[in-house]
Amino acid sequence: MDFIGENLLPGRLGHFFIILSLVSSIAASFTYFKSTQKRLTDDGRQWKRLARIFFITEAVSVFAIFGIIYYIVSSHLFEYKYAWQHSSITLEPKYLLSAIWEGQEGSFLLWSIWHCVLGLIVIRKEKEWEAPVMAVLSFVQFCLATMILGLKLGSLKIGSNPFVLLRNEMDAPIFSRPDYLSLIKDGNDLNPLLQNYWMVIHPPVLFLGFASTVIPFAFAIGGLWTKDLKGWTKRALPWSLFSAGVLSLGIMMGAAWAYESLTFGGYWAWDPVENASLVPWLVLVAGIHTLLIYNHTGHSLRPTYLFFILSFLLVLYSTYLTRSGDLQDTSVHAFTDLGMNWQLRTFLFLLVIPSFILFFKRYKHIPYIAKEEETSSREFWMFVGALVLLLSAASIILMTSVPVFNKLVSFFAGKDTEVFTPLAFGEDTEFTYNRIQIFVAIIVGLLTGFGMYLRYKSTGKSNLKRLLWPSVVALVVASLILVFGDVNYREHGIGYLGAIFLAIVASVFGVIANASYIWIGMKGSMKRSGGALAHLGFGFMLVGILISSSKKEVISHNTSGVFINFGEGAKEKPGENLTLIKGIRNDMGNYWVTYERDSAHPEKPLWFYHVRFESKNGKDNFVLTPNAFVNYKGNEGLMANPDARHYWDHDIFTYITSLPDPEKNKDTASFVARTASIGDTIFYSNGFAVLADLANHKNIPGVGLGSQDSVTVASLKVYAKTGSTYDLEPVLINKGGQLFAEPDTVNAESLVVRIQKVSGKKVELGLKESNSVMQYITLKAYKFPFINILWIGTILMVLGFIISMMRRIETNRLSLKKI
Amino acid sequence: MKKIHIVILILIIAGISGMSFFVRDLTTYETFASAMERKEKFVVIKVKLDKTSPIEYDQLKNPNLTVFYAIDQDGQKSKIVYNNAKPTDIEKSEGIDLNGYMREGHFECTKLQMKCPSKYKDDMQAAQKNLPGASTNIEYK
Repeated sequence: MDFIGENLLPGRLGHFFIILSLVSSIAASFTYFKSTQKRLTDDGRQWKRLARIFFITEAVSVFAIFGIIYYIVSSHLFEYKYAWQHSSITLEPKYLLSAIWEGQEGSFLLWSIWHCVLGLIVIRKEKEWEAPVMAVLSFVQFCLATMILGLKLGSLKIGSNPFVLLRNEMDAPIFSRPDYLSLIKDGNDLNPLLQNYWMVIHPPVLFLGFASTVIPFAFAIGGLWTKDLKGWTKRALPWSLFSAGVLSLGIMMGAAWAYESLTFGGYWAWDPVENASLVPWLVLVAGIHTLLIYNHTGHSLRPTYLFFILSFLLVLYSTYLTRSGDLQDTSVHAFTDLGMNWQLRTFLFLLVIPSFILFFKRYKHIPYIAKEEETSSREFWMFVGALVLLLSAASIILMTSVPVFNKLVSFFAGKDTEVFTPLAFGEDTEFTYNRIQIFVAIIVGLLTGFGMYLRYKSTGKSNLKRLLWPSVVALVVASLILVFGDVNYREHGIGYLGAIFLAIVASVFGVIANASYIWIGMKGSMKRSGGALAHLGFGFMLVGILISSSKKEVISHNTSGVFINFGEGAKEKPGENLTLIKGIRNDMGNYWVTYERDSAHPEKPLWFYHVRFESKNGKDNFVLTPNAFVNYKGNEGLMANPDARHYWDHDIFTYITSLPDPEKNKDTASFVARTASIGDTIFYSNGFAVLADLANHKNIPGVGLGSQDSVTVASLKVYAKTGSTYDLEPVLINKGGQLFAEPDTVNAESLVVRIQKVSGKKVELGLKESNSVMQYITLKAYKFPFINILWIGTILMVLGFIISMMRRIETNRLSLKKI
Repeated sequence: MKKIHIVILILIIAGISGMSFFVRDLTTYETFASAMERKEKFVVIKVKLDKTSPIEYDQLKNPNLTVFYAIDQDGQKSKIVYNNAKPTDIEKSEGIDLNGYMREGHFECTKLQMKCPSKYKDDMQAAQKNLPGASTNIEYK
């Protein structure tokens, strides 16, 4: 059958480029492999020339695939499933990119694109190491290309193709009509929670971080493979610094996104997806330190190999964890299962097994120094630090892998056996992690502080003396913070509070020691201070994390008076949700809060709730507008986005947790008639109203009322039990014998009053008490202190990585010139 | 023995003791019946929402109390008390992991994790409604 209106050309081109990228990446890996085997010969150079052509073809294809997807999504070609599933006509242009990487296929592609960019730089910059590094990179590219292949061999599915047509993926009668496309007016849109600027910039940065870990890995593998076991170390250093810097930025952008626009109540929740990005970073940073040790002293080359290999393999493991659906029980934002688990596992094993075989085969040949490091040497303590980071990473990844462990054991033990009950996390997941990582923070905080003052090989007393003043200052500052900052987090006992105190002292020391080192050690030369700056930033991050999490406060504790009963056997923990009735001022922590009004997005079912915060001391007065999508595209219910007010030392942060259920609040109440004359009192369930005045206007020209028409206005004063008074003015219009009542409402009292009949000085009023007139929202609000220290720390640390990278690139260039 | 070996030994001991805290804190997946036997112990139960009983949540009376009924994997039904706002979309969940304590007559849930139908299927069904003349049962390839 011929279908009308389909634009099939982009899809065909897309399929072509997918095949081309697959073929050229396997060809590039093979030719680079050959070139490496025959390096330093003319044959090897021939192979390399060929390999470059293949790799450039691969890069062009990947860019073309991305370009075509962008075209399909931006031209709203809904015959393609990807466009239909992830975008819509009203989607703002900036979110078209987000729509691409919302899906698994798009995110694999993003990863692949960065590999291409990095590969092109490697080809340009790395002369003798190009072939082995690119052989590894091209092979990884091949594996990624299979992820978007979309081939079905019987029941086996290889990859998920982004260019499939909607009508081939879904069985519905409309697809038997040639003009089906004219019936599909719009796509399903990007998940509203992802319609956020962080979703535009965070994934590319994070994926660049992930993608770049392949370069240190490829250098290490190349070293093992070519038996040139130490030639790569200087070349790999800037790459690994780049990778660590970008990865830190990506991870922290994710944290900022979680903090600013998701409703997790914080920037870090030890969610498996977050852990999966942190663990490779920890191992990579450990690797950078051991690599520095090696470049300066000749120690620690073996662990460097291990760390660089591990950090990339952990990226793959994380990919498997977050995309396989195995984590769905424990994570809030893992991807859904696309039926590609076996393929992800194969990808993982294809790289894990050969890497480790190679590593252990060559292990004995990797040079090492038998003589022990001096205790006073910088390398000794750097190595200790690297071990602590590795241990921290190991504990995090083991804990995150509990669902995988369950799966493995039940696979071998059989399902539903008595032998094994699947394990689950205990009551407080965050504490489970924090309890261990707080010790990592203490050790690492101290090490980053004094490590910089030590010298490689051995440190003299005069060097150690320079530590005196920074330590004194740090102790004073830390004590001041502890005393005046009122760090008093007792939820987990006094021992844990003690650990927090120690960690704050250690990280303050890290900050101050590194800041002064930039002057004492480096004489203020920023060019050489990359390391100190990165450590300084890291120290700031630790301080920010410790203070903000131990002093985070829920301010929406239920004090509204609407409810005080903790019944049903609940623990006496006051609830964190607070219901605000429109127009009523509520007591919340140090603030009076009022839900004033709401407004709607012009095109989408997105509602903004204006909540006024007035501090009780009268110094502060502002409006926060948390918003929520209500019943969006079949997603019934509410998708909330928080809003925050930023101060230099704290943030006030709030989001909607619940809205009235329209089903429940159907207006079932009816008006009850009461007759009254001026001065009479009418009672309702929560108070009474006095009819203060009754005015009858006749013959009002200019508003379309004739001589026989009249308008009656009743003025009522409502005295509520709560002590509040309200004025009501219901109106009755008599136009041409027809009566039109305009009721008036006291929202706070759920009271509606209308005039039903007028007879002389008497009036018949209708009273209705109904919850449906009551407008309310339920929200949570937090106070986060000193969150800015964390963000400043992040920026400083990333700057530190960049400065170090620039400096290492320059020294590499200078040393090349010397030769 | 080298100094670094001592350091490694200390770190390994610290690591193992840290992890043993973690392992001790791990709990198990239970059913309502087996949780009854381990009252006052924090457990996780895989359940499905009982859609025949109403979900009680009145944020005017108490924004921090949701009461519903759920059926575990053995088919046993129990009352669930969740001291928080009603989770969005709980009606549509395919399964729920309840975390909390078995109490007399009800399960006190402190944290819950819902498994929602995958976005993909969801989209398909939602779209189905928008497609004119579509039949009510779709098949997914």
